Amino acid sequence: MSQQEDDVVREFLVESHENLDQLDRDFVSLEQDPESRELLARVFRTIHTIKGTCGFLGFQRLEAVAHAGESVLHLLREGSLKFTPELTTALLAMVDAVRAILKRIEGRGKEGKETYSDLIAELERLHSLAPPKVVDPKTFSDFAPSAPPPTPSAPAEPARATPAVASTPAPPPLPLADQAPAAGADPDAKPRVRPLQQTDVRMFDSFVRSGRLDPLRLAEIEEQQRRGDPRRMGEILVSMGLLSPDEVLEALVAHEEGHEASLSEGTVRVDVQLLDRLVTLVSELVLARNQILQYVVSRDFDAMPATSQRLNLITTELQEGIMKTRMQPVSNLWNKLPRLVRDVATSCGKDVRLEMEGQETELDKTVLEAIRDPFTHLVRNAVDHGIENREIRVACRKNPEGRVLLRAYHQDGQVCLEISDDGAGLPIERIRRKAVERKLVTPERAAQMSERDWTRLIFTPGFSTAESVTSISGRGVGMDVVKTNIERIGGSVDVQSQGSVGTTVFLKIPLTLAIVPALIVTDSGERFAIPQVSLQELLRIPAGQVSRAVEWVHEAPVVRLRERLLPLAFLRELLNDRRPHTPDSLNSRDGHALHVVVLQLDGRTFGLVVDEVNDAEEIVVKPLVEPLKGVSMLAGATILGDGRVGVILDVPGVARAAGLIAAADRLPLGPVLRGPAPGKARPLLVVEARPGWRIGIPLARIARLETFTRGSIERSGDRDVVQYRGEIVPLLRLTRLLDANAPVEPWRASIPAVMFERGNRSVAVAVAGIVDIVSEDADPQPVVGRPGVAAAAVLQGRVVDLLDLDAVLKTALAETDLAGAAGASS
Amino acid sequence: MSARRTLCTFRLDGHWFGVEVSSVQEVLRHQPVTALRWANESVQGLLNLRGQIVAAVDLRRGLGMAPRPEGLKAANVVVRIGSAAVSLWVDEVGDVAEVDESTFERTPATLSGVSQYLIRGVYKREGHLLLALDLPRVMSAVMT
Repeated sequence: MSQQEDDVVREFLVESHENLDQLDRDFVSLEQDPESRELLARVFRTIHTIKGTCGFLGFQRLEAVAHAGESVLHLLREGSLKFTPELTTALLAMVDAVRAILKRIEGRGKEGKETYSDLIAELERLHSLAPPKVVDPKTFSDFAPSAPPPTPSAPAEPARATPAVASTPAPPPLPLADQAPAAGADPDAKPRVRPLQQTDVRMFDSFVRSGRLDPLRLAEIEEQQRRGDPRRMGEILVSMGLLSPDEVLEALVAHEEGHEASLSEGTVRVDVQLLDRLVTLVSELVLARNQILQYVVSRDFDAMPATSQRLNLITTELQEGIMKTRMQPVSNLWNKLPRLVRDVATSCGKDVRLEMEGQETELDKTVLEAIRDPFTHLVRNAVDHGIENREIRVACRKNPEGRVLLRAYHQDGQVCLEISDDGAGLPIERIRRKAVERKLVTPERAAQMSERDWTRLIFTPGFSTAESVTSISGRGVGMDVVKTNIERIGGSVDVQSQGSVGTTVFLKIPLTLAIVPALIVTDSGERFAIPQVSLQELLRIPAGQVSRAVEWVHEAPVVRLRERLLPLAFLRELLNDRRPHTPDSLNSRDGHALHVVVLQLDGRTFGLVVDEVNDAEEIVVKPLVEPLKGVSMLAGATILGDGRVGVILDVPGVARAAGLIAAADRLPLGPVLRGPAPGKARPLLVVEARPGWRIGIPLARIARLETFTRGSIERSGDRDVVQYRGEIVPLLRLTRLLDANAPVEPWRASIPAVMFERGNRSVAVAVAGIVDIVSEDADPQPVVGRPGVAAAAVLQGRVVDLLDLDAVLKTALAETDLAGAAGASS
Repeated sequence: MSARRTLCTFRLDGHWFGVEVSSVQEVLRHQPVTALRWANESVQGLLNLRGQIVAAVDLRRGLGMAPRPEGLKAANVVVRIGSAAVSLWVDEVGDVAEVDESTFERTPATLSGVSQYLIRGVYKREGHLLLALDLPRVMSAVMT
């Protein structure tokens, strides 16, 4: 009997949790649209169902609370009471109370000691506010569901002066007799549900739900504990001033009492049709297995190809089907938000309307769980800090009611989520001031950062945690945590903000975490999986051509890919932490073809050289085992077709190991200079414009280095040109580009030149000499008033002017164009 | 009569070792692993255990012994504490032995370094000594 009753209770709990979420939403919509009969009828039905079932199961307290609510709803339905914010708050408090009792039932199979007498009193008071003729105070002791409208009888009790429900003090303890039935003294009399596993953080769930606590703060504290903070979570919360000691105590008691663990979160509802299809597929699978076993026994493999093909189909369909059971509409996450928005908005005295688009967009359950906290945080932020107070909005001639819009849609095999508000936008000025004050950005950098760079600064770790910053900007609390959490599941975050128009945060999330398409490669005898998200193309340099195709920019090997230089990294050397190849060591590889996997990361591309490229496969991602967690080049492990383990390469980690991106580059500080985003150590080609005058040119922008002879220079109009690869290329003096008044010196016998490409045109810039390739590791100082020079830096003990390449090329090309046009017209 | 313990025994470089049989999940012949020595010194590689990925750790290395001679293929003793499983590479798996607590002695102080830390003590058995591994310590040494 116990088992059966257990099941009934479980079912009741799961169902009730869903119903309660629906109630939250309906009440919030009802407040906006009090006339909707349909909504009201649904709310009434839901409460009625809960009440009916718990009466049947013998949960008396729950029944009493639900009944009080039902009575009020009854009057609302009749029209003798009207919705007021006060009424909605009380009804929502009722929903919370029901939820709390359910939690306790779930945890220990008991309703707990709380009687919610104040809540019931408040509901009674509201009930009595209705015109006397309809009210029958007896309804409260009369549990008859959906009774016919009560006959007019005794006048209502005078309204009692009970304080508002929201901050209900603990009710006085009950007489023992009252507790007896609920205390589970007789285990058979009460259904019991075993407590599920729970963690410390769950204890504070109720605060998170009520909007009192930020879930990300909890995550931060958890992280802190993992890093060795010995204090309990409650202590930390109190020391941070987030909760009062009383509140923590209250949570502790509730926790002990109720074992807050959620049953409903551990279950998934699956469409019966889908389930039927899965069952069919599984029986097909069994058939295929039986056939194969038969072949093995009889050693007759003639029909094997057909069977294996069928097996292939069945498995694919089965995989898709199973994955579908994990897919959930994003509305599962969003459903909880109207209530949150209402609560946060009410507590800061704002009017906020929440709109949603694309609720039906589906996501894997684990992904949905992973983005729950960051997403909730962003919505809170939008309401709390994004949208201005009513007075300010009126003063700005905006609609006094703020708007938060949630959008979800699929794009490029990813799910895009947007949270936009029509508030004041990010306070760029204040971010700027604080960032400079806190030395997150040097003043030099600050001068060159665009508005977009500034908005992205809110994701910088140091930025958000600082109290002084948060108190003025408000925004940005935990934005770095949002970013980290989203990136952890392979997503990305971006923000756009426009003063007084609003802020939009964009999230891009992978559909599922469990299975990803990947390219399998072999190196050093082991196989590696590279997620296809970062894969751009494959390149094969045939044996015998390697030493010609791979060119060297000082120590860095590169190949030309469609006339752009592609830096190379060798997986084997990275794995063994060996020095990268030298031209000589690479020549020894000339006998073998070179397989280059072209990867892209944050808009930059690089080539990863592997021994062999095997195949594209869909791999099942498994978490890394403990001792390998935190190895930077590994993202996870998977089991390959032959049953062996393969590791999944972490592309950002590989790029970092190869020195292609510096760790500091992850800060979204934006380009210091114009040109490609520089790492901390950006390689520069140092040339001499004339002896003693050193100029640095970003290496990535250079197409080639060439040497021309004096004899090859021809004249076209009043320009010097050279023939180069079947093209007529203007040859310009660097000195003249930097200083239009520089004297024109006669060409020397041999002329070193730097070749640039812009569009499909080439330009040769003649220099006095090529000096070296160095890493730009000093902070360049911006230079003003010298055309063609963007900044100056001290490199290897000497001052080097950094070329403003775009400006120089623009002048150079404009001049040639003019000359060309002049030549054509004459 | 004193308490008895059941240990799973295995051989390493001529010595007999034992771990609590209750923490041994399974014993396997040599299995191919995906070598990952570049990622973590103590981890020999990863092993597919019916869909679960388990790290393989060479106890010879862990205890600072001479490397396993060529041709001697390691056997796997898969141990589990809580939810963490690790496959220990040993030279050869022996019997499951019942030992008497009265024959137990703590490791002599002359034992040096790592092994002093990782070996809980010694059971004196007929003909040989059985070195009891301190499994939680071995696991935590491996896991970090």
